[in-house]
Amino acid sequence: MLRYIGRRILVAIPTLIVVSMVSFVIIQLPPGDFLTAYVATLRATNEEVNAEQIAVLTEQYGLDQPIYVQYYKWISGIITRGDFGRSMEWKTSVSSVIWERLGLTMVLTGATLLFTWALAIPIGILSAAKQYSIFDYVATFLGFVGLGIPNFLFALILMWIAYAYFGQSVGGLFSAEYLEQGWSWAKFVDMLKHLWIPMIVVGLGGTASLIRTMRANLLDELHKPYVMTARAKGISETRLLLKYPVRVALNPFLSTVGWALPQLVSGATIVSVVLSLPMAGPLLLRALQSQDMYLAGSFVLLLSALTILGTLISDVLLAWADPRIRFE
Amino acid sequence: MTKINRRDFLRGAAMTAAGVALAACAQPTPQVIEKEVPVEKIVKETVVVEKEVAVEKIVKETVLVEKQVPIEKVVTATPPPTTYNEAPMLAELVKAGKLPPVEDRLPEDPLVMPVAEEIGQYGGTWRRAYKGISDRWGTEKIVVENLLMWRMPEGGSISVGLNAVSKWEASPDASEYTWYLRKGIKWSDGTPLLASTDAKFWYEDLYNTDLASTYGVSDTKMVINEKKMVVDVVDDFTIKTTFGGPNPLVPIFVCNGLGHYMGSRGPGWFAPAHYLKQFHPKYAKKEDLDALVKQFDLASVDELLTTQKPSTFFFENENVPVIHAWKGVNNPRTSQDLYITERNPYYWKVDQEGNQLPYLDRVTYRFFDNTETLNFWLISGEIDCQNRHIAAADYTLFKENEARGDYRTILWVEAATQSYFISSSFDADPVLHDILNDVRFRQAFSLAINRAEVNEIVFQGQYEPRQACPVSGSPDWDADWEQYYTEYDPDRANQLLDEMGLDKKGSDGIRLRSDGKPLEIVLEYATVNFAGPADMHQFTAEYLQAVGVKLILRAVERSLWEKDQDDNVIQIDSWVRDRSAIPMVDPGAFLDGGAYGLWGTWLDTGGKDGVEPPQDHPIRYARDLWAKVRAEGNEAKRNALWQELLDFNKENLWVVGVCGEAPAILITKNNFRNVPSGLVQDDPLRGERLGGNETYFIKA
Repeated sequence: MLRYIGRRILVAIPTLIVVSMVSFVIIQLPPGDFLTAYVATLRATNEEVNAEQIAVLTEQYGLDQPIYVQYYKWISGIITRGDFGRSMEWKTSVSSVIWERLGLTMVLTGATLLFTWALAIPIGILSAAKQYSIFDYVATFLGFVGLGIPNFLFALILMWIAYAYFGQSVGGLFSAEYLEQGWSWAKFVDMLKHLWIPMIVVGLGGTASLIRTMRANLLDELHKPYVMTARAKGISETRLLLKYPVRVALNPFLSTVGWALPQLVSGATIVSVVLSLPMAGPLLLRALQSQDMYLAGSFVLLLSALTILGTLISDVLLAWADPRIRFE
Repeated sequence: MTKINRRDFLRGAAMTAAGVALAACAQPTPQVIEKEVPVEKIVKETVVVEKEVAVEKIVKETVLVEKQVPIEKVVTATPPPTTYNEAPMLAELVKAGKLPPVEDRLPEDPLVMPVAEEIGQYGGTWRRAYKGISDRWGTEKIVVENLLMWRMPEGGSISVGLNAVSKWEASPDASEYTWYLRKGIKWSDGTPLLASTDAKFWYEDLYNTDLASTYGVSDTKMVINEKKMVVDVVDDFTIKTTFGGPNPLVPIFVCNGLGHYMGSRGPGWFAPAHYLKQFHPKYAKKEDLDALVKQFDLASVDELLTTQKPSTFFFENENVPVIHAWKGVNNPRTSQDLYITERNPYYWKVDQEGNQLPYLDRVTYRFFDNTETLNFWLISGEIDCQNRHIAAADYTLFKENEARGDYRTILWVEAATQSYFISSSFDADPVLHDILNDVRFRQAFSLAINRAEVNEIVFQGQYEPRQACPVSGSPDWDADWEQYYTEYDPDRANQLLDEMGLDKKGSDGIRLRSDGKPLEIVLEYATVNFAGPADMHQFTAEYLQAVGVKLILRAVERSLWEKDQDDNVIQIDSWVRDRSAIPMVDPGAFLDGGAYGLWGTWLDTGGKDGVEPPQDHPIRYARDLWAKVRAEGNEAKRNALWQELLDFNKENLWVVGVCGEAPAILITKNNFRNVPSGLVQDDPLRGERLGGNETYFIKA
């Protein structure tokens, strides 16, 4: 097992290097660079930027160098000093920009993820076990609705409901009056009042697809001979269900756990934009739009690293949950 | 007030900005000033010259332009206040000995600000929303202060007013200016603002150095005949700026922030030397500088003094001294969710009763990312007064919720017109080039558009069908231009196109070009708000189809669109023609002669960069005219040249306006007073700042 893990980690290193190169190149592919975008915004606000100033900035940001030199500088900084470069838009180091937002993002997406699992797995099991019952129809209906409604629209609708029927302040994570205060019980409660919208919105989409997957997988298993054998041996229906078919049905689920990790960082981007949540997703979006390449590049690198790590975790989990995989 | 009434009023009140600027020199200490507005008929003498510019022949006629020139003169009405009051929160500090008394904080001759409604009450927080660190103008346009500022009283006209200076003079050829600071004006930390320290530092240590470009103080408007401006310190409160030749537009450039050391935002040509010296290698030790570079997380020592860096920019560093009404308590870099500013105890303006301004204790900016969130805050009454980031399209939503949110909807006029830019420089396809360069095509394009319908359907009737020209309220407003080829007349459009030799049509009804190909033109626009709504383009394509011209719509990402501009491959483009209140400040598209590509860059850099435009292209003529305007000391001659430039644009119609003068919506709480209505919202006028927000207050 340890050898298996060690080998996987070794393979991850070249993958990361390739990913970092590809992402750096892709970020640079659109025409223009950060400065063209920056100068355009300055011009749009009636500020003069003359050729001399542009030349100075180009040199400052090193944009006049060939792409491989820029890449080398960036990657060697990361490896030797843990320095991810400087964000051009924020005019400061990339790491300080990213870490600032990461905490809150992980709280929200983590909470949502747990909420999703806690809700979706039991519902999926139940609606498979009681196929074509009222419960199954209701769950299926809600599942399809959840899959069908675009996130941003659902967020807007919930915001309207919160505003129009509960008279609640919406948008952001706190009401205006708590923004200036330090942490208190009232502020915590206020945060929960704001948190339910993004949690439901992000959670619903995920829950819906999970319910469908869980139900389909379990239905496949329920009619296999080993289930029948177990039943014939007189094992209780609940125990039977949980001990064998559910465990097998969880496989595809475990193998996608890997994707959950990058989701923790960049998930819910659209919803965060709509709800004006100070999370990492909108930051990445903005960095890509303004071609703030070191910030965007570091973000993509971070996400890739998390994906690779996540895949590793799911491999290990699978091996643990399903003995058939272990000796593959 | 209906739109028409305002229009009529403003039409009457239009005047030349520079005229006021010159009139203002004669004015001694600021007292209560009243304006007398005699009507003066100026016959524009225009030299009748025949010019062959590109395809069009320009024949000048003698035009009679009626302009009213307001003459500011001092009327001794109410005497300036002699005793001063201050806000309770400051009085407490004075009592505790933490702050000098108000008389010592104010200059000898504080600026007396008129109020729109009534003398205000002290206290309260003005709650606003902003988009975080990238939205610095959202804050800056609330607090900006220059030596001179644009003023526009409710129902009045736009004029140049005194601000941080109590007086200024220009030499007869407008190459030398003397500026008299208000005596005893102070930075927000209490340090006196002096010519002998702050202007000296700005000039000697920032502007007149090799690093001026790095620091961001090298504005080309200060360079005449390739000579940099010279600043002479006359005494503690007087400076003289000398240019390399006549520079008559300086007053209006100053209103727009000329000379700002942009990071600190003192008035132009002054920088807070006592704070900035710690960043300057001339005054600070190397190890201290290195420590500061680390502290502010910058890349090099030079960046310490660069504009808009975390070290120098008030928006990102609350310790930078300012002369604004409100100064930062925190900054958006560390506190993006809520940026807080509070009153500057050394603010140098008072109301007519001697109350030190501002009335409001604090202005706070709450972060939002998406307009819908802002809209929710607005309609639930969580914002006190705001125009920025509010779309005219949401007008109905705001009106519906007025009672619930306890606010009123104040309207200003947006100085902008949604327009199509028809390229005169596109040359990848010579046949199409000739068509686009035929003024009859552009006239037909304009006539084919049913502006009334677009206004009703796309803009909910909130805009006004018009050509892309200066807006009402502007001294350059021209009734004839506004209606120039704006009538919906497809028959005449067809006739014009037929006359051009495009009278043969294919089976699909699309006209055939001289080479037999169908007349297909690409309308390429960036996917940003400024490029206008996609619905509008859809309508335009249908209208053009009806007269046998096929428009192919191509929406592209902004950076690609910019690249296509540089590469000169754009045929027709859509953008908002803004800055239409005082176009002389920033004439932008009026100088391009319809050209795209790097031709403008070539002309601007004197051939160092960009691509050389053809000898006979109108862009040369437009830029030449502008150079003459900028160098003409004589006001009447200058106005004539400027008018020629405007007419050149009008007749050639490279920019075809569709609808404009949208309402600029200020959602304002009912207890939030002194907010004027009917003003012009335009970037060079510094947006909402024109309302005189230091006099806004919350009525108990």
